[in-house]
Amino acid sequence: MLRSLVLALCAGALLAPTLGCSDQEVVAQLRSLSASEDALFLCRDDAGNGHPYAECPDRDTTDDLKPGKHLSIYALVSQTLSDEVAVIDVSSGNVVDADPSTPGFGFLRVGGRPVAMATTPGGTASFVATADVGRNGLFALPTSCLGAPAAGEPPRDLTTWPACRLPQTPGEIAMVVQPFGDRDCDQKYVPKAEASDDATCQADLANDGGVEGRRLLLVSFPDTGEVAVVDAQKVLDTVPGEFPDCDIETIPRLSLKAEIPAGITQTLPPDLQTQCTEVPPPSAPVPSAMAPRPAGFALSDGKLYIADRAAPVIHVVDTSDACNLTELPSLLPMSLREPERMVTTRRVAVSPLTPGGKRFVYAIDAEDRPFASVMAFDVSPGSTDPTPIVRSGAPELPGEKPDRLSLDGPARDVTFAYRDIPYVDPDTGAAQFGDRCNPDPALDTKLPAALARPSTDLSLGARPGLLRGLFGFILQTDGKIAVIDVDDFDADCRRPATVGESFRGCQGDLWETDFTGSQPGAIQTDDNSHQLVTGEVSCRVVEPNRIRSAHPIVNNTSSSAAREPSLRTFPQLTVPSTAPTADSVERPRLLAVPFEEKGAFVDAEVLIGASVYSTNRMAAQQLETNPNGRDSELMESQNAVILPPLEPRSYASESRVQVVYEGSYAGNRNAGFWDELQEGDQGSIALRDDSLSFCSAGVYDQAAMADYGQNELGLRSEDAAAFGVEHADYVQITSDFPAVDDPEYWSYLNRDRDASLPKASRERCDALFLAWDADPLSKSRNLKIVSAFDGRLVLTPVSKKIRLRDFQECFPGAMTYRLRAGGHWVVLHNDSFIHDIVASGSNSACVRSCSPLKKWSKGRVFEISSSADNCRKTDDPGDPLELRVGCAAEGEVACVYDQGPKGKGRGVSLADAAARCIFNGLNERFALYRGRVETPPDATFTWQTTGGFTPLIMSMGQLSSSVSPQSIQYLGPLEDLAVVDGTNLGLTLFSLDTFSVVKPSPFY
Amino acid sequence: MRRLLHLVVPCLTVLSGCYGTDKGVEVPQDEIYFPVGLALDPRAAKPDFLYVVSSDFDLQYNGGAVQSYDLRTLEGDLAQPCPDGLCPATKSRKVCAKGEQDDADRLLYPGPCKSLTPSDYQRGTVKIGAFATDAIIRQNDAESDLPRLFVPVRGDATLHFIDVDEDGGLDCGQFNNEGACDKAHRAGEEPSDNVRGLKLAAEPFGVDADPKGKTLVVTNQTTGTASLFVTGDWSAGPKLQFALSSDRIPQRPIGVVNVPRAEGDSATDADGETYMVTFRDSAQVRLMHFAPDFGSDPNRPFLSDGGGVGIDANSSGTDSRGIAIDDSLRKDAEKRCAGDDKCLAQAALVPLDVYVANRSPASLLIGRTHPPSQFPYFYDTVPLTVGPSKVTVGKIKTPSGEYETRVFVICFDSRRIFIYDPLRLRIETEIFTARGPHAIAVDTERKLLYVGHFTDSYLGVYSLDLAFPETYGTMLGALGTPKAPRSSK
Repeated sequence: MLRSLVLALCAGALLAPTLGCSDQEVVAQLRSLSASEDALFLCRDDAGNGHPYAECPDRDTTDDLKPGKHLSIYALVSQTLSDEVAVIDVSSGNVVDADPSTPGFGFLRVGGRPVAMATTPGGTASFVATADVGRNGLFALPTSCLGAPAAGEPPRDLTTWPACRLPQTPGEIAMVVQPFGDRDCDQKYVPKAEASDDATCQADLANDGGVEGRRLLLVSFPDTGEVAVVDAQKVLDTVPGEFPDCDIETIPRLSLKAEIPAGITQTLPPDLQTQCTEVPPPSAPVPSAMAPRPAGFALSDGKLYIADRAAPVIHVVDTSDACNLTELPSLLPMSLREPERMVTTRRVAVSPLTPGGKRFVYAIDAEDRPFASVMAFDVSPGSTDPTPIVRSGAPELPGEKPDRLSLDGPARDVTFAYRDIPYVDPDTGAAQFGDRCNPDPALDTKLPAALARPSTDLSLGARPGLLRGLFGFILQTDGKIAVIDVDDFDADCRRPATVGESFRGCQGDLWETDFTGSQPGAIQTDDNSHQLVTGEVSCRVVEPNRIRSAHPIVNNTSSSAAREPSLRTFPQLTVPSTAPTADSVERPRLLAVPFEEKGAFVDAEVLIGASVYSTNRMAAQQLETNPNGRDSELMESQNAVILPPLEPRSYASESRVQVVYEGSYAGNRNAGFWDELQEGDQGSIALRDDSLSFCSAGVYDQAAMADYGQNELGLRSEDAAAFGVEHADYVQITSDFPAVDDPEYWSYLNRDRDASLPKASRERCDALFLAWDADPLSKSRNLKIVSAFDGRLVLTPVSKKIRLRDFQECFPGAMTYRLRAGGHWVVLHNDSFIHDIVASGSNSACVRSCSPLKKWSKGRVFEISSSADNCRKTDDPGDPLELRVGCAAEGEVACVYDQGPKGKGRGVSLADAAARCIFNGLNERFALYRGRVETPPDATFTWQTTGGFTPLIMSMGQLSSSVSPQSIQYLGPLEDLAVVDGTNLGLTLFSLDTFSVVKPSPFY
Repeated sequence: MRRLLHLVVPCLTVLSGCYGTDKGVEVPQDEIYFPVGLALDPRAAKPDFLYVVSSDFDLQYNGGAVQSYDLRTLEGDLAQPCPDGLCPATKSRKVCAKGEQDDADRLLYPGPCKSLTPSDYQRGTVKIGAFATDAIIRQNDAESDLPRLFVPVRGDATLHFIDVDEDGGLDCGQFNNEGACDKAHRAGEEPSDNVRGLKLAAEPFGVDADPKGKTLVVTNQTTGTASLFVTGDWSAGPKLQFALSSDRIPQRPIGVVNVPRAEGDSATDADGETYMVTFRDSAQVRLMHFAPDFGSDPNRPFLSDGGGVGIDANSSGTDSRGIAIDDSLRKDAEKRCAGDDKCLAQAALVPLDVYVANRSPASLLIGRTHPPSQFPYFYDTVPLTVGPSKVTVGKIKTPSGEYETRVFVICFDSRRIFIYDPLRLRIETEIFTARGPHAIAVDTERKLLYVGHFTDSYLGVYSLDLAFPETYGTMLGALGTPKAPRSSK
């Protein structure tokens, strides 16, 4: 029986696959590339000859039958695990099999791990630097031998290639051309006759196309900090199969220096200049104690920029005379936020010179936190600043480092693309590179600068999807490629139609006349029916050296691609179900407030769903601003909020905003325990939590709250002190007590206990603090925060009936707790709390920051209440829609205003002292009016914003979720980006027109 | 019929995760059997003994084993790197003490030589439970206290601890317990050992301890907990004190490593110990702080969850395995301080380098801390072949006599060990090992790498001698006869 059963199971197992079979053919995708790291591109004809890269792609197809005339772009891709170089015919979309005689794809074997590659200007030969224990060398791969061997030729193997041994581990290599001259070094190298006798894979660089001159390889030696010069022809002339020493002695080596001139600091933009003592002025980097260790190369116009992994410099080497390399003053990587950190670099890229005469270097700060970031240096002709650029506008982007391009993942590599799509003058038929879009209404509309203006639906002309100018590209380790605006030729046309409005970031506007049209909200058009400008909501949609937007940021819905930050719905108020019941008219209201410009209100608009709402009383769809406005009963919502357009980048693509009364802002903590009291803590108890920095969490103690009252709300100092005591944050203990049957705890506490003390027990704790799962929790569990330090809080019980010992006995060990705002509201964005608290002084006290970078770090909202003159209690008789703003408490002075008499109730005006309580954040502007019933803790206004700033990102994620990108470069002739993946995608091309993968890539 | 039952019963046993309570077949004392842990004796820079933990993974025997091997003797029987390849240790010997291996065998079992016999070098052996997973060794301050091996054992969900004497002898109370570690040396079994009434959760996997072995953290894969052992009285051994439960941390913790303390660290004794933990199903590394609970009475030590940092350097980043920390830069800085407190305080700010073996995609994650914060941030990732499982930091001695750090990443599935050079930021070489490389130990002074080959149950010894590039990373000898798993025969 058992035998039958087992046999049946076996038979079933054998049959199962066949039952699941279908007629559909399953094609296994075999991947021949592995652990790819770098790619090199060259132009090659069918006869195997190299050509200058600019001759590709082959646009003349009429002569393709002639092997020497049909040109293809070839990619050499280093394979670091198999010590090979893979060959890809990019033009035909095929991986080249260099060994058809064996199954699978055969690649070109080199003698060690390929670490760098370079090719000659004419594409005649490529060179591979290899690094392996005992196998450091240079291998020459003549372009004629990149394919399979011809009939009668031996298979391609290690002995095919001319190669020479390097004395130490090579780093990067680069090819330079030394013009022929009279010096020995400038002489044309003459190949040795015997070198090429039998070899099939050798090349004569005398025939190399492109600039005439001697081809020299620059080879870095990281261990000694040197750059050596090797004649490329000499490498080609070594006998294949032998491995003689490379001639690196004929031309002097350059020893790199790590000299940091004293006193050079970063230049701050005006909006970061401050007298705040908390913000130290930029300081010069400390002199490097480390010897140079050259890393990535970037070569342009006779200058070689060399990243350095050990010393805080980016070397600049003048290569115009390779026989006598000279080091110029270095660029100086440094960090504004971490001046003490020695910033080193791994990869570097240099841009072409723009028509405006600008050139930039981007370098990767691989050890920046939380992610490797990118520094930008201005290396334009005439620039003398060797430090990373500090951008203006940083206060409006509090998550951004002012001198770094930081994305949501570590940067792996960088490159630049200079790209133009010239507009043709219809009269002359001429086109010119570098024309900038010009919105000037007086401009002749036939000029290319006018032709570059946007169409009314933003599908043509200036727009995010059109890359015209100089752009940077940052490849992240997660496979994303971010597009960076460096010099967008269309930037001047991407702006609001109105001018000079500071709340749109347009202060200091170059233009004086509005670009608005004759109809409300319309934009002026020109004779070409093009809009003068895009009408985007802010003057900051295109900013140099910041990530590019994927969409136009406009508040009209005519273009499906257009988006500005908008509300999904009006703010909604929810109160805990356990709160006393009350009519909605008795509850607090959160209302829109118009913008302020030059001391007066300016109407504001907000997009809600697909409709535009305005604070303008004449608008078709209005937002309420007056808490006593009876019109609001007819409106869609009792609550409203404005989304300021100052800095679109400050908006997440999706965000849930909550404004919570006495809100918990640091989550549910679970590792708090009592700390020993220190001098001055009498009458208090101290809480410690190793898992939390209280200052980083944003705790406002009594002193911080008093400071807020005085400096933000304009209170007198004595009022501010009382305000601090009243509104400081508090700790709410949420722990349960030790179990009744805890093996030792209660009996231990009662052992030898002082008779005057009540017996310790869970029952007693229950009586004092009530249950841990009661809703709401007992206020006896609350402790006011008297003083806050980074590592501890000093607390006093809210209830005077509770002794400190009761807390210690009922909540031993690790306790759970929450940090809550005291008698005010907190703003949470996607559950995170933005605040302005920092640790200060030797005791790391939590204080309010004076840094300009914290200017917009606002997270606390105070209810605006009514003075007693025109105040109505909830149980007073009368129309409940009158005098809706709740009364100020006795002695309350902050955020109190006169709401006016019945029938003439108003909202707060700019003339009121309470106007300082208008919440004017980066992403929301509103006033919160007190209701006539007491606001319960956890009462919450909630809204969602969508369509915020969406960065222009390409991603390898569309191909695979598991990628490990290694390098990126711009293929000028194809206008594509090439990305090499170390996992299994090999080589992938991305289009800069569609921002998607170019088929048939990826090549693997 | 009997053959069918032979097939079915072991399979069911393996599936149930249990092993029989009958005596079963005795563990052979002269075999290495599914090795999972290696540890070098800590008493000398050039260690005398290597400790090998066998797991009895296919339950052929009635338990696993821990054995000690005399490296002084073994060294002489290994082939030696030479300028022209391999040569004997002395002129009177042969390159291969037991003769050369057939070419046909070298595909599965690399190396030129036939295997050496374990019993020729063995100095001690004890029986442990089945399914051991790892091994670490620690030495207490007191001279009288012997170094101690700690071995998590899945079979009986315990942490075995075994003292090792000067001759390589092992002691875990086996003399009165039929050669097996007695109950007193199997921590985690007895709830009365702690005030919380805890037993060690199922499936203990990773283990690490502070340098003195006073606090130990064991990860439990299936229950998703991190268990804390505390050694009070060294002679009594570690006691289970706490389990940080899975509702506080992600499921499936795997790797664990103690965060080295700075010399100028003001925390006293074991207070202040911190551990980093990796997870199979979450792209993060979490910190866990040891809290001695000195302020409470009764004193009940615990681990507090210090929060985690995401692994963003990889496209996915989930499925992390081993984790290792290199504090050599900080130690170098401390040495230069010569005891000066101010200098030591500065040295304490030197970051620690952190390495994680990650499988999505297969890569070595490179990160560092930013003192005084102990959270690592990962800034680089190096692609590897399939199946990174463990990572170890070790020193190698250069031909000029300098010591340089290397990171050894084991890729179990693709039978490779990558040697990463953190100074030059590159893979220095990759070792093509025999099947199933699992545990390694770096013998800096002998310039050798010991590799436990799990799948074929033997130990490989590989050259780490940079003076001989041709043989760097090649196998110099094998200890134990390779045995393919029974299921594959």
